Amino acid sequence: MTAVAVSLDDDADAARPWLDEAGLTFPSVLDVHHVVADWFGIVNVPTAVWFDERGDMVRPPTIAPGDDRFREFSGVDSAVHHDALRRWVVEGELDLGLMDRWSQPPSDAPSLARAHRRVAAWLHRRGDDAAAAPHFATAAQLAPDDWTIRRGSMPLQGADPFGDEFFAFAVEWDDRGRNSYGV
Amino acid sequence: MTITVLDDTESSVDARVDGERVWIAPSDLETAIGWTRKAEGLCRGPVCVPVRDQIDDDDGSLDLRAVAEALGKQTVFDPAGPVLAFADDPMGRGEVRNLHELSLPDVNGRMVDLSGTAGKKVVLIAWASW
Repeated sequence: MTAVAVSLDDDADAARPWLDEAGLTFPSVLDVHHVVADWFGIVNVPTAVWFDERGDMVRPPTIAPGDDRFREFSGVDSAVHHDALRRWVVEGELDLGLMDRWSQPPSDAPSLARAHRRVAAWLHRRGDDAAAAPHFATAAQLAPDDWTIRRGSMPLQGADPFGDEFFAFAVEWDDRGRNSYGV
Repeated sequence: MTITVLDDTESSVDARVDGERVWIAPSDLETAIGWTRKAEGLCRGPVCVPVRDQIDDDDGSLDLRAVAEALGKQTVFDPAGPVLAFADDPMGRGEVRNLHELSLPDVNGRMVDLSGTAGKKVVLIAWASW
C-alpha cells in the first residue's frame, strides 16, 4: 500500500513550505487544474480516495482528517477513518455500500462549475483578474457547496481562506445542511 | 489564432473562432484533449465513443465544443484568453477514470506517473494550503 498526496493549490510556492515540513516518504504531486476533482469527484480537503491494485476507485471521496484538531468543526473522527483504512489494507475489508452512495443524478452544474474555475484560475495567473471575476462568480453559483471551488478560489481573489470570507461561506454551507462533505 | 485549451493539462492549439464555436485541425485534437478523431468515432487508447452529432466541418476541421459534447464534457470559452476549458462529471454521466492513467507534476515540475503504483493499494490524499 502507498499514499499519494495531491495538492489542490494554485502554485508550487503555496504547497512547498507544507511539503518541506512534512517530509513525505510517498509520492506527492501538484494539481493546479484540479484534475483529481474532475476525475474522482473531490469537492473538499482533506479528502481520501481509495484505489485497488488495478487503479480502480473502491472507496469514493471521504473527508479524512489526519488528526482531530478540527474535529469540533468537521464532526469527523479521524480514528474512524484510520480504522477503516487499516481493515481494508490489512484484512481486505471494504464497505462497498459507500460506492452506491457516490453516484448522483446527472447534472451539468458540477462540471460546468469546474470548467469556469479552470478559466478563472488561468485568467488570474496571466494577470487578468477583471476577466476572471465573472467566471469565479459563476462557478460559485453553480457549485455553492464545493470547497475546492469556493474556498480554493479565495486566495486567487484576494480573500483570506482562514478569514471573514471563509467563515461567511462556512455559515452559508452549514445552513444549507453541510452538503458535499464526503459520502 | 492560437487558443489555450485547459483540460487535464494546459495546451495551445491553432484555432478558428467563430462566435461560440472553436474549430481546430483534427491532427491537433490529441494535443488539445488527448482524444483522436477516427472513422469509428472519438478514441483514446483502447476506448472509442461513437459520434452521432455533426462535429466535422466541410473543410475537415473539428468543432472542439461539439467534440466535448459528444464526450459528455462541459466547456467554457472566453475570448479574453482566448481560452477554452473542459470539465467532466464522474459522479453523473462522466467517464470512469483509472488512477494509473493519471500523471501530474511534483512541486519541482517533474512529472509523476501514477501507473507506477500498479499492484499496490493506494490512498490518494487531496490537500491544500487553503
